[in-house]
Amino acid sequence: MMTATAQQTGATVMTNVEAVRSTLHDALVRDDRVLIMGEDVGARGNVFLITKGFLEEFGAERIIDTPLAEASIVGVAIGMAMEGLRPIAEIQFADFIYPAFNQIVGEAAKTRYRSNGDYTCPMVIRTPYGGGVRGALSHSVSIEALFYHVPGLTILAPSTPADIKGLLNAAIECPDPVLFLEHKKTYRSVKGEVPSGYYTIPIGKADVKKTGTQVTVVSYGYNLHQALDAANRLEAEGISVEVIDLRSIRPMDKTTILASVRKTRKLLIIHEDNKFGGIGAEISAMVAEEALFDLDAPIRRLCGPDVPAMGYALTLEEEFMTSTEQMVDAMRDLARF
Amino acid sequence: MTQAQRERAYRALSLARALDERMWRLARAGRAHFAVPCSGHEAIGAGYALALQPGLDWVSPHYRDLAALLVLGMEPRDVMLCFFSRPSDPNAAGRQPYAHFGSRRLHVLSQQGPQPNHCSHGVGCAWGSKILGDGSVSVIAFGDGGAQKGEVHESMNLAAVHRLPCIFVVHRNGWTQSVRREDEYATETLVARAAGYGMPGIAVDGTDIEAMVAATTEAVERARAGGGPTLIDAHCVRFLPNTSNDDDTRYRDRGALEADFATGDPLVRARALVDPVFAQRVDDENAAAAQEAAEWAEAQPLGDPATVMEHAYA
Amino acid sequence: MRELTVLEAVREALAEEMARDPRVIVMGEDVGRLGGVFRATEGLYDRFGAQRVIDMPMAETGIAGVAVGMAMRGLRPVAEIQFADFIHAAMDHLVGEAAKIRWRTGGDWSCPMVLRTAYGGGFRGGPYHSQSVEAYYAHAPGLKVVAPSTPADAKGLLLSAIRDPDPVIFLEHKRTYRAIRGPVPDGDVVVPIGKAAIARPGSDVTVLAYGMMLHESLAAAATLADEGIDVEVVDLRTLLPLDRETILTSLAKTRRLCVVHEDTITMGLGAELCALAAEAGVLDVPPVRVAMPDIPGIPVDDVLEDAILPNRATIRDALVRLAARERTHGASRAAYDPAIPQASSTIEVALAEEHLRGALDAVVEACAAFPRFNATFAWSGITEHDGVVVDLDLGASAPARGGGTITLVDYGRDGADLAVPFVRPNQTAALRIGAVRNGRAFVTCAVDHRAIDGSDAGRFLAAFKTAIERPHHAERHRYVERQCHPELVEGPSSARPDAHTAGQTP
Repeated sequence: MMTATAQQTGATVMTNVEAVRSTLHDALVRDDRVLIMGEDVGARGNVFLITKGFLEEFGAERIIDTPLAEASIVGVAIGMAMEGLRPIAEIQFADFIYPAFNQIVGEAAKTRYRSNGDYTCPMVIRTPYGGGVRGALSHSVSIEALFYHVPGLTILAPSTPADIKGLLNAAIECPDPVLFLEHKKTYRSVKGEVPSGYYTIPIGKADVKKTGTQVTVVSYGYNLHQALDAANRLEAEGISVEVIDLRSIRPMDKTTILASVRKTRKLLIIHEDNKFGGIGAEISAMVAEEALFDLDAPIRRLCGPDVPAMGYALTLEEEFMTSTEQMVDAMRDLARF
Repeated sequence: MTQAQRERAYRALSLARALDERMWRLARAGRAHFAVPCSGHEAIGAGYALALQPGLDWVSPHYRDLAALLVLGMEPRDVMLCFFSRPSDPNAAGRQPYAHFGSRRLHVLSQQGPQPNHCSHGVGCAWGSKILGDGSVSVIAFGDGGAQKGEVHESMNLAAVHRLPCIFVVHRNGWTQSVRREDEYATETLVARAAGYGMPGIAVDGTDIEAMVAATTEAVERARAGGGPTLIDAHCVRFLPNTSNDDDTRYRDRGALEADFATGDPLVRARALVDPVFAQRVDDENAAAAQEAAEWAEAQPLGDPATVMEHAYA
Repeated sequence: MRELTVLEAVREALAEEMARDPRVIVMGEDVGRLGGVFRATEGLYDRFGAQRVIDMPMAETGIAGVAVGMAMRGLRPVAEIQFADFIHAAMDHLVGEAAKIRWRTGGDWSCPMVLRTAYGGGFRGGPYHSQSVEAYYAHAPGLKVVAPSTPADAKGLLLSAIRDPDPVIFLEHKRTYRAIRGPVPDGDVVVPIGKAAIARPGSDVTVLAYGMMLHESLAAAATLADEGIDVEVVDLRTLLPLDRETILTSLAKTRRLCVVHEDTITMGLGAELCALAAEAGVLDVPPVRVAMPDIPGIPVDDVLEDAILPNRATIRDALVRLAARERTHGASRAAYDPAIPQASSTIEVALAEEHLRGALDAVVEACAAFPRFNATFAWSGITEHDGVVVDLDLGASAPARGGGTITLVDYGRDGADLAVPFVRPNQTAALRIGAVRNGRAFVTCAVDHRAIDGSDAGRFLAAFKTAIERPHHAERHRYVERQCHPELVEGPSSARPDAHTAGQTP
């Protein structure tokens, strides 16, 4: 699952949010160039308490409370990165990333290319995304599809504590801009073992979280955990589902997906983002291009509805979020196709 | 202000406080998910709303402007429908959280929250007033946190260039959630920015309802007469945490805050303008109204999931 | 019927709609006195005045935000973002606000605005005056995204967009502005949003295109008629909401799909179009996307820009291959042994179109360094072989014959860019070389996980890459050929290399 480098001496059980926090902390200790900037990351210690205590430990020069101004948070981080620092910029909620869109798409992603490699932009933009927490229109959005279309960007969306640590370390090491997405519903609901010591997980490698033979499911984020539940339930019915955790959105691990699909011959893509033009479209297109002859059923996508946003009222939110039961049904249907 | 106006103002401030306190308690008790307190900010919203002509003028409010909404005609039950995200909420039909106001009937532009995106919408609305020539003005209110975004710069510049009939009201409470004023902007106040755009600026004590009404009235008259926009820098004290999801003990000294609020509570200051017996009666009525509205709204059904696809397009 | 250019059609629609409806406001950078940098708004300022034709500061956030406010207030703003490349600063107002206003207020408010912008490359505009932006907005329900390609559609769709009760992103391909001329009906003839058009009927292959690529696709299709390939070209016209009915009806007939767009390939609109077809199960052969490669911007350099933009020649090439593709469903089934748990790894190598001999050498060399990849697994133990016998799979016409110690799959230029080979029984590894694109290719190594760790697959690939990319390999080839592939050197030149028995390289 991960590239085991030196210094692994054991493991600790932690939640996703604790994994983010401890990885950031270690990075600040390890590398003087690393700094954190964003809204409320200082005295308040971030709205999810990810940077709690950092201001006291590392000082205001490296833990920077910024004004409510996303365009300049990213813009300033780009300048820092071009000058050799390793900024980790936080967008408090992914929904607020739109004002920074121009800086990310128009500037960070193009810096290396337009300067012919003269300048690079080694920065990480961390942001919590996803719904199911009563966050409504401005605290629920999934943004990966908007950025997946941008050559020059790397997008990571790990879903377990161990993957978060390994990929966040890899993101900080990465010489190019990385958008690091953390599903906020998994922050405290997902717990797991995290190896001690420094390690990285290679960017661009998916992980088969459960092996199976009849259906391939590709997912990530909170949906991944539901999909694993659903797949485990179907074992009792004798239906064998393989669940791939994408982990890296861009670059995408075509190899692992195609190998699995060629084995199971059926593909179900599950994501929370709305369906039309979501990343499931690209996965489906890629598999159709590369492996159509190996499929025994049409490629299915189980995604959020094509509405402008996630509603606040519980009933509206639940209608938007795909339930585990819906996943079970979709997997069973596909297995029987 | 006439005594009748003072009493009307007091009713609005008192009702806003009663609703605010009820929502805060309900949110803390887990009965609803999200509250945005306005305690300390009431006189700003009520003040500018009292200076407007209902049904003619337009408002792009700050999300702490519950008092403005009440002055403009929103009922306690509407507020609680919004708070409990019921489908009959006139603001957002259960789709947005509380305090993301908007009502076509009340001329309150739909907004997405404290992000100051609604500033340029308000400018567009004021531009409409100019083009349509109906003599209306627009108030555009936002926080001093939001004021640090480029959005606000573009909006104020455009309004000044085209002498649009609008009034920018910045709630200057000195905090952007947890980030203190010194880390947000380098000046003590924001009123000097007005000169940079070529518009008049008025610094006002935003906890003084009379001062707030007077400042807005002056700005509204100028705007209606074709004199262009005004920036009102209204100082106030944010008495409660940023929202019900915030814990301000992590970054604020409660003792100092209480001391500030002792002199900066707009409700206490307004009470001095009216008869104490009247004030007590109004407070009691409003507490009862808030309770009734909350109980009624909570008993209303949640939205039908099948409606989730509705209103994506006409 | 009179003929207009796309630019003239846009200008005419704006003028007629401003005259018809006093609520229509045109606003943007340079739209007034200058008449727009492309002259799309020429004459409007003199005719309708500064109040309705508004020169805005260079402030895209403000332009879009003010338009949202005007629309909510009851006007019908037509805002212009001068170049689509600058629209990113306005994204929050378009995706975060305009798209959501009706929905978030339960229908209380609406946002009837049009945002016009000039997009697309092909005229040496460089990375900041050439971008395509449709994919970002097509993913935002609540918006409509329109991209006309002909003068009649430009006018008719712009009229519809301005009258539409919801926000419309109106994309004008700047190369069509003056290059495309065509008949435009007189008077108030609207074209409905949400309806595609069959630009050229055909029966063999369906092309989905829009913008300048529609015209390139039509040109490619015209040259193929003589060769007996009957191409149907669908002009999408509206990208959101998509006209699924017209698309699926066409595909149900042709069962072969080629999407052409100028935007970069990954997650471009083509992804959704292919996914739509894959989901509907209407394809006989894999779909093909002809699009710009995934680079961050369009270079301003003449040669580079021409090399990366799709054109009638590259489209034609793709269509010929697509029409010739045979249906071979289940081709890989026989090769797959479910008993072998597989892991795999991929590496990118610099590679010439003609590379087979070098590849065979590189396999042998890598196996010498990693004998575990040239082995047979059994639970009782792993047997590493002394000689390398490459089982070569060149596709349906020349499949692997079995009996080797390692498999090399290479389907040449008709193969996938990246695909995973299967490890055959009695082998521990298989390599697949993807199609060579611009001198580079992906090489994938699959291994029997019981015998080989995934990280070693990466090391094996690194060794393979070193070998195949080594300079002066021509000389080395001759040496290795003698050592390893006697039949390649000695047999008739037309002989197909089968299994190549070889000793270990020195």
